[in-house]
Amino acid sequence: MKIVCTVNGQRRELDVRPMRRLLDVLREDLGLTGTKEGCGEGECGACAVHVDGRLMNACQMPVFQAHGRGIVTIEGLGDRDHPDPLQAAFVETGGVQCGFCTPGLLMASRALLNASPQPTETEIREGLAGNLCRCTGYGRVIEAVQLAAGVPVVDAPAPVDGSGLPVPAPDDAVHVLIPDRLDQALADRAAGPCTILAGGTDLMAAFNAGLPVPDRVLDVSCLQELRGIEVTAAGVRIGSATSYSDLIDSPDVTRIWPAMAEAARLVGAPAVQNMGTVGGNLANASPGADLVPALAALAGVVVLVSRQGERRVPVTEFYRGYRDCDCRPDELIAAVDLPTPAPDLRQAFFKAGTRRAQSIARVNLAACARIDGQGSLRDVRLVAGSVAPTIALLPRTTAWLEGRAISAPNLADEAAALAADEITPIDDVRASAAYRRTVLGNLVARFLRG
Amino acid sequence: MNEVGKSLPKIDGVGLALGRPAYTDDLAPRPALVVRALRSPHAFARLKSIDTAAAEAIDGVACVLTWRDVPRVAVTRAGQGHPEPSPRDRFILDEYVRHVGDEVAVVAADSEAAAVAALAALVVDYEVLEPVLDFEQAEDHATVLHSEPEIHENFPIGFEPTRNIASAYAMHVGDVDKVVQDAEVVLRRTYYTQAQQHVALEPMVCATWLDLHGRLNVLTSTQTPWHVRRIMARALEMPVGEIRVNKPRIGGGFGGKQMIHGELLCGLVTRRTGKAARMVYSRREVFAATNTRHPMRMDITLAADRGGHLRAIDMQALSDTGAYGEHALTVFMVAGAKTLPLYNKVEAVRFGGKTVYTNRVPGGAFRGYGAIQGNYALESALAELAHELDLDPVELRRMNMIAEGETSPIFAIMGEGTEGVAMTIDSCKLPACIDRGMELIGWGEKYPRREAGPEKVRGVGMALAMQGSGIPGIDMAAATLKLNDFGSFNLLIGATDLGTGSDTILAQIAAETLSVSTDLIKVYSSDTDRTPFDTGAYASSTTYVSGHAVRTAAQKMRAALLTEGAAMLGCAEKDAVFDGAEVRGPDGAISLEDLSTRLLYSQNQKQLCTTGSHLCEKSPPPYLAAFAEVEVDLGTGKVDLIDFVAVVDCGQAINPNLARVQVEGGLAQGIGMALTEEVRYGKRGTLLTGDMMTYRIPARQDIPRLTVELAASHEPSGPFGAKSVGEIGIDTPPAAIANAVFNAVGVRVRDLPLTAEKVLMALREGRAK
Ligand SMILES: Cc1cc2nc3c(=O)[nH]c(=O)nc-3n(C[C@@H](O)[C@@H](O)[C@H](O)COP(=O)(O)OP(=O)(O)OC[C@H]3O[C@@H](n4cnc5c(N)ncnc54)[C@H](O)[C@@H]3O)c2cc1C
Ligand code: FES
Ligand code: FES
Repeated sequence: MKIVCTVNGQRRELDVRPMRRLLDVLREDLGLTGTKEGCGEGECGACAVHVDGRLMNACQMPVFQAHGRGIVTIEGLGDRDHPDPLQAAFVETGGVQCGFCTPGLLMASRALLNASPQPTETEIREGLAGNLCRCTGYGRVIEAVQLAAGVPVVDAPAPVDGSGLPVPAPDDAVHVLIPDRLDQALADRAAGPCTILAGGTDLMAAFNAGLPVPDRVLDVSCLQELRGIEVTAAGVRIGSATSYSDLIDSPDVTRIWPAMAEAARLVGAPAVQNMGTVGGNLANASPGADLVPALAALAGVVVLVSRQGERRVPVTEFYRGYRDCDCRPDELIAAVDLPTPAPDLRQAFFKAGTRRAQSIARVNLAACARIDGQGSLRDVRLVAGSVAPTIALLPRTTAWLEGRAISAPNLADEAAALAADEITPIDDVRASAAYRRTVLGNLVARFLRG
Repeated sequence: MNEVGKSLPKIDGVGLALGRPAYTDDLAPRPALVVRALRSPHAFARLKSIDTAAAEAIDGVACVLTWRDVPRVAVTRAGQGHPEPSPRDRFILDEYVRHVGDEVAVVAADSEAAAVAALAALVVDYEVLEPVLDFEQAEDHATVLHSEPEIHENFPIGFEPTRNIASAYAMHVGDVDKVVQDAEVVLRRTYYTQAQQHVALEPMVCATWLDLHGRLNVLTSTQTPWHVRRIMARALEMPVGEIRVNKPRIGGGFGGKQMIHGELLCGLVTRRTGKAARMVYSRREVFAATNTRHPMRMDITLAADRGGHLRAIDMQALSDTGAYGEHALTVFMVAGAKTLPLYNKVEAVRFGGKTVYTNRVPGGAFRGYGAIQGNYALESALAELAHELDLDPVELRRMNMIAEGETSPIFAIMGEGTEGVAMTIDSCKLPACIDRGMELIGWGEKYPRREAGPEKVRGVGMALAMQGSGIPGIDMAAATLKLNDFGSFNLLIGATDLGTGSDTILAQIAAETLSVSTDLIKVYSSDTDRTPFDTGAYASSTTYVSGHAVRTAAQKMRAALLTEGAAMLGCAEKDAVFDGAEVRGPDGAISLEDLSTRLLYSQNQKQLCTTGSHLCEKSPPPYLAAFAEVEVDLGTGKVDLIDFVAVVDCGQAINPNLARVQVEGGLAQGIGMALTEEVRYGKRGTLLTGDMMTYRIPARQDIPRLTVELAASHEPSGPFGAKSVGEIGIDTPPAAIANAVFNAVGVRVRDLPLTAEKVLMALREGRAK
């Protein structure tokens, strides 16, 4: 496949197999070996680069997605005579030890400073959360970013003219379909089995772990119709190709649907948030997904489209079992609709992971409820993740709570016991069933104690 | 001092920050065959047959190797001195596979895609055998992992493969049983430490090719180039001199690269095909097929009087070396040797136990090697004793710990794999480290606990540690200084900088000795052909042992400069001085630039080249006092580290900033071991933690600001007063954090890591009682 992009400001016309990782093309074809591979699955950030100014993991991006975009790698950040202030600061503080994590870390630091020129220590920790370092203990890196904060830098090179689509070649091993209109995508979908690719954060990791790459891949990341957050008085429509970062950056989402914003903030780390999409999280149907319980608790409805038309399925009914959702082979997820909640609805999202970033929940809980004039609980919705093959709705606990006085003695403890009792989780590498029960109960209690 | 004691930036820092090509895979020749291994899906199996025909027929496949195609020579992959104290219990490839991930066969192809296709085309018939998965059941198990006639120990290490025992050890001083019987207080506890993995960000990677002369060149990410060369020569049945091993920049090692990994396979491919080859481990392969820290069970008995004076320590351990005995004995011994001398006032001390084989990822070298396991057990037990006696845990340590001018009989009894060397402690600033640490953490106000919110409690805990500085009588290092025209120097060292900054530190030592500025010293390190020898970067030896060699080389260079300078000035040598810029005599001076240039081009022409070599004679311990503050979430059991203070006595720090970063990095790894890191297996021995999502090293938000201070100290035997600092940082976090959690919520977790789950379940049980 022929694609056009800029790399470090230089226009490049590349003839590549489309599903190769951007990382390999950078290292092997372009000789830009500064970008490193530490894991190949989005977890370490050693391969982080800027794509149109956003931090992304080059190990998770099939190279065709670079078409029409501006890539900046560590080699483009600075050189010996004109280093980026961050590069100088890292050397000065001792933030560079073995140096293997450093290129990715520098790209993450630059993305952070571009977005927030004077970050707080917490912002730095969050901004660099996806970049693991095994040498430094992280303190030096944080100091380095603080040192370089506020030092002006020359602007990143302008992105290329992204018009036109990549040109497929007859010998492409994988047939990648890159529609630029939804109706074309639906026609492609109807024409035969294909795997949908959006941000690639789940799929590319699965390929790296050994899942065979399918013959036909349908890319939805270029479909403008699937992107965006549309807020009306009645609610919001979130396009399926909307990224976590788009959600986090939306003031409306943070204000009106804080539980969803919190869930998005707790997903992965910045590069994953920039790449991963709402539709991908829904369709991937992982029992540990973070966004899904929040969407379910907020009464979200999945909007599915096909050439037959549109189908609307509440998130609570979308899952049929482990990794199995109600999306037909000719359909794709177009969006998710959320109604505007009552202004006094209390919403919360809790995640019990192991590490604060880049960790899949051992238990998560999205919870909503209102307290009426009499002090009674109304419209209680509790949706838990990682405790069942798919999201768990806790009907018994919810029903028990509905209408009960929030001030009732032992309310939280009794609800906790009920919730722990009504799930049948499994033991796995992340946690035992007994732990999951206890924690879920405690999180329900935490919500009720406010 | 001008150069030593200065926090100079790392000499390779700028290049690395610019992303310049530096690591093995950046520099490996292209084109090169892609080497990939087929890895066992079974924990234990015999390879009944391997059909390679379909794989060999694939376009682009250059060779397929199975156990039938490789020399039958028993080796160890442990990068240790010669002869190795680890059993020679493996082959390049074998008829048996002994853990999930063990190598079944190897393919080499001219593209990644062809290599992957070839792996998929191999048809293997496995005879699946019953694995040994529980190390406490391994000894005399019905399943015997190793019954190959060729395997052997190089000298007595207690190797009994028919009983699944890789090594055994026992020592004692005094009559422990008697003291225990008489003692007022006896505390018996059992602790478990888990398998931890290094997770250096750069995976294992190597490349091989034949040079002009047909010699095998190896570019590899290793901590021990000479050991790699020697072991490769043995395994491939070729003369050592026909192999050259070179290490470029390394993306972290931590002991993980003190083992041979792809080098044997890659080297064999190049020998067979004549072509360049390169092998890059995927992260999943690193997890499944390299090494872990040896998990251990430690049964510990402390005897004391009511006042808290320790009278006896008994430490009996069982260590799990997994499928192969890499570093089996030496890691085991360090668990005692680098912990027990800390409390030298006891009347009796005993240490011993076995290292057993199981069908798991092999144990291996890992920063803190044995010491962290022993430290967790001993420092936890001391805290438990203090609690029982109602004593401040700090006081208990103060009463019993070693002091300057003292010794321990253990130094002479225990070395690494062999006997040790007696020594007196000439530098030990533990009292100062403890005082300062208490002040920094605010021990007075914070001990033992305080509420920190509705469902959160904070507590503080502490631990002490000692380490060593090289292995006496074994570790040897050499350095050569070469004077160049116009006054620069090359420092050629065998020492292996694995990202720690040792090239920088050694350049500083040379510069200080020569009174020149560090940037005049151009370092070239660890190439078996081009630099002098070094045993390698392990056992905290580089600064102390290699540093000495550099200093000696530089002293000789200094003397040579004086001789030659005086000759050119026409004065007596004793009347000449060298200040780094010029050699000055009574009647004139000649600049270094001028002198060096004349020596090579015009006057009294000769090359000045000096070599120093140093054998480690003693191993002065660095010391560390650690204080941790944690916050426990009562709803989830999650332990958040709030503050960690470490005050270190590492002698005179050659480069204080780099020394501190070494400690900080060690602490972070110790924190991972304490809280989140654990290699876990499924019922049939499959690896459950095969990626970075399930095996969790600390991320940025898990590590609070670490407060590391260096105590003023000077070790008379060290170069410029230095001791080691590379490992000690890792030792204390497990015990200090476990002690802090106990102080916070009264829960004592005796098996690492302290996961949220263990803490919560223990809290619940406590509440139920
Ligand atoms: C390091 C890392 C950390 C992570 N951390 C978290 C976390 O903390 N919490 C969490 O919930 N998730 C986490 N994830 C997973 C998360 O990134 C994804 O679930 C993400 O939302 C998937 O979106 P995507 O666009 O990347 O999906 P892709 O990988 O492109 O696709 C995922 C699946 O969805 C299908 N699909 C995608 N779009 C559509 C569509 N429009 N219609 C129908 N099917 C579609 C694909 O065919 C595929 O099966 C993490 C992933 C990584 C790599
Ligand atoms: S290589 Fe680790 S995130 Fe890409
Ligand atoms: S400096 Fe080595 S991993 Fe960060």
